[in-house]
Amino acid sequence: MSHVEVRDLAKSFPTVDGQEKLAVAGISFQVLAGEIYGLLGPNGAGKTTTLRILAGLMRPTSGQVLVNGHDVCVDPFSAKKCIGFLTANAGLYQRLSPRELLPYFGLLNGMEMPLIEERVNKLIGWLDMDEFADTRCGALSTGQKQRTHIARALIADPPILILDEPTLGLDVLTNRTILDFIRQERQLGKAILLSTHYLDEAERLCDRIGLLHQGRLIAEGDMPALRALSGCPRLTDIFLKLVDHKSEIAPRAVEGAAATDAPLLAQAKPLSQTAPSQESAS
Amino acid sequence: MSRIQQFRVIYRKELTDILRDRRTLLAMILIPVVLYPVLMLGFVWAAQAERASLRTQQYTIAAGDTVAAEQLRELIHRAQAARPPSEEKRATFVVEVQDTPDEKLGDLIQARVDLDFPEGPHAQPAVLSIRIRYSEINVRSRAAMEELSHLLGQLREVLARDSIQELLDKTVPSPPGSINAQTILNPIEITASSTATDQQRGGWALGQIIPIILVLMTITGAVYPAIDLTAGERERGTLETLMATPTSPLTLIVGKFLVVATIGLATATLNLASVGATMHFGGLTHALTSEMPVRFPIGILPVVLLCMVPFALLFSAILVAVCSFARTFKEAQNYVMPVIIGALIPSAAVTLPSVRLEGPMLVLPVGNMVLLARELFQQTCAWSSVAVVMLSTTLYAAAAIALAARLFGQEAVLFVDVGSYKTLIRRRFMRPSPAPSMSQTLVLVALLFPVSFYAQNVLFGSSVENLLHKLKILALMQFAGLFAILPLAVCGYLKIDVVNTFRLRFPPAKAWLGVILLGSSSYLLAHRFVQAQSWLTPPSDALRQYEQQINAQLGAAPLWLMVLLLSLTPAITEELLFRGFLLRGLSSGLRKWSAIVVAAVIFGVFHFMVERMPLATLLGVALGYVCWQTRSILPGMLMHAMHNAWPLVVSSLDERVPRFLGMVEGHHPSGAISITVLLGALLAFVAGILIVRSAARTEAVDQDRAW
Repeated sequence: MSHVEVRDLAKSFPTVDGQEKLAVAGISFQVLAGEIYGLLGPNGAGKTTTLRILAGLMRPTSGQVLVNGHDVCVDPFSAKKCIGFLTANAGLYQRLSPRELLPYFGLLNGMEMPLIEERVNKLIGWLDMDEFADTRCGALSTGQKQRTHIARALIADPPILILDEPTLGLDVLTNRTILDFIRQERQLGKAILLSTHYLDEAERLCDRIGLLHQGRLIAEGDMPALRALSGCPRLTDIFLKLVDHKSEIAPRAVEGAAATDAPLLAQAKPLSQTAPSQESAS
Repeated sequence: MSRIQQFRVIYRKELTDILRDRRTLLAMILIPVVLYPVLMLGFVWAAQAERASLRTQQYTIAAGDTVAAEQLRELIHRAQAARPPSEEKRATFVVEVQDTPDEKLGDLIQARVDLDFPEGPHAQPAVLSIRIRYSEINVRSRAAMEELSHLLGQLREVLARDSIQELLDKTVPSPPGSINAQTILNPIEITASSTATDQQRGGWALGQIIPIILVLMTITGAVYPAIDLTAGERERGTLETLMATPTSPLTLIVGKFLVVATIGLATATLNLASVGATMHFGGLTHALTSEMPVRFPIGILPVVLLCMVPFALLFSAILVAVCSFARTFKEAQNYVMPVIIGALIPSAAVTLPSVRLEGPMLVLPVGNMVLLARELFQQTCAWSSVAVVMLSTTLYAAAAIALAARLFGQEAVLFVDVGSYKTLIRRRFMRPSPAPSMSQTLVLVALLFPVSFYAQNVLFGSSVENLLHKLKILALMQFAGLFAILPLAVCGYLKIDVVNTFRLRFPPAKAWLGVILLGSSSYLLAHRFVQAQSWLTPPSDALRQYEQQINAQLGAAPLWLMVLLLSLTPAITEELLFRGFLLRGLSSGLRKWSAIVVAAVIFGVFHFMVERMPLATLLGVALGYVCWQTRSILPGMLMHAMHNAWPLVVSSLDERVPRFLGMVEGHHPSGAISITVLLGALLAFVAGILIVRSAARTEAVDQDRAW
């Protein structure tokens, strides 16, 4: 069964003053087939870094990511074949139309031309792209661009979707089209990992949610479990309460931690165990 | 606020902002204040040095027969003796008896002189006619003519002065009509005529201009796509999605690099076509050449364009590598500027007429291509030079592409928000790795190549005097320093596993048996190969003489020292570099045989002399195979040492055998190796290969992944 498994993942970056900044401090979670997992957190929580590692664009400092059983560090090629990756603030080739751009990514994913054509036509229909499919991407509106992005991520029909801020800056109508589409993909049995700042949207859409704060997973579970843990009804309140509680114990930077893995893992272990619904996740 | 005040506010803010950008300051101050003066003064200095050098060289002058040669020597001697003592050192001349045809005047024989003595050589006063034939398109030939004219001109003045003095001293006036004023004032008539054909003149003129135009146009065409396809892609935010596809960075970068090279070449071709058409149809050629008949060798253009392909590939590869490092369009533009200047300096430097495609110039990146194009136009280049230029350029281009692929996928370059270049260069950010990557390997080898070439050239040049002393320096500098210590140091800095990279492990026992068979038979086969090769392409007299000199010098040295310098040192160090570092690095990106062959070709190219490359490459294949099969560097070292030691040991038993395995000993008496011995050697070689092959099977399979 398709799924993503993240084990004790940590990532640090060097800073200008020679220190190490810990962006992801040892997190573990799973995304199963047929579920939408929401990775939520404030700016700088480590969401985008985590997703980039999952997509094989960055190497973790320590820990392991398995995509359908393929380790992204050991066999990035096979792992990437299973993933449709949508990045926040990504660009499109301005001088190509969606109908030219989609086959390019299909070919890069190793697809054959007849299959690509069939898939492109399907995606254009599903995502309501008919009227702009032959317009160059440079002339598209924000919503049209985002639909093109999603079509691009889905061109190879990957079993796992990693969506970073899929509805950022979209109008209500496009927003609905895209959320419906994500639900539809869930129905097809895909494992979907989603990151967003819109907590209401996450509450409605996600089956399970992981709350990321200062590189640590401070809570994880479905909405009832999170409500029980925090005593708050709404995700926004749950989030604020848990973040306020945890922020004192998580130092932002680990001074002098060069490229050694040990301190990161030591810090990560107990924190990742704080996630309340480990059992439901496994 | 008035509009003027608004202008002032905006002006102040923008000026403050832009002056805080260090790159603006660099472009504004460093380039005009430092670069141009250095470039111009450098060029003027080089041009003056060239002129000074041409005025003091020794030139060879041909005379038609012994009498003429003797007369000319006498004239030159008298002229030199008559020189004012205050005059600075000038050129000297060697007169040879040769009936040199016009087209042969140039590098070996600079000029031909015909003398006409109407009344004998010492008849005075009578007009002595000296006709100098030279080639105006050869800088040394032209300099020889100028120097000879200058020298004989001085003699003319001395003779005229002496004649006048003689007349004045005479107490009895000469009878009327016996003195010709013209012959007294001008006792020697010097005429110089060029032997260059219209076509040669045209080729010379084109060779001076077209290569640099082609280089400039290729650069112009390639710069924008290189920036757009790398830094531009990153800036537009499309790179992240591209890198998320199951495609390797190398594939992506090669695709992009080919586009850049295509556009660079297309720009160069179109510019060349446009320049050609304008000259031809626009009457420019006629206007420029009405004074001097010239015929442009248009047929050479396609060949020159073909030779521009490696240059376009190299330059595109460098541009793509540099731009892959940049995160924004502006940053890439800043990086590109020094690259362009770096390409133009050698291009401009080699436009000095006396700079020829030889020695270190053969491997000077970019400069060698400009020289090659020029010599193709002038039809003066040797095919061996073409090979060296092409191979070295290809090596540089491959290294640049490998580097580009490595940079392109780096997260420090990919993500502006989190990355830092320090992670790419500082040791503490590096992760230990079991072996060097392909890019690290190729970059090191590409850097070693010209350094090693220059080292050998500086050391040996065209003379083999003090050969033993030079060999000792070579062993220390090139072999120990460059081939062994440098790769080891690189591994240490990059945290690369030294034992694994250099295969420092003991092989199975039977591997030793295999390489002893290989090492004892390979020299005999190599000898036969050299014979066959020299039969196909007979070595030049110069090469033959060179190798005989080497052998003459080596003959006297003690055997142990020869074995140390020519067998053990190269065997150990070359194996470390080529079968250790290089083959191991290549194997991370290539399959078994591709890696072995590429490493062998590079090993061959490192032997620098084209004549020695085929044999060295073949030996490289055998050594690569041995190393791959035995997973150890040690058997290859033994085989290599035995191969090199063979002629040394045999020559100590039979003095007819040369110690140096060059290209010409095929003509030596030792060339007669009996067919039985050869067959035996072949059998031993095949048996050795089979044993080495089977040695791999006895090894544990657990190391397979590493290979």
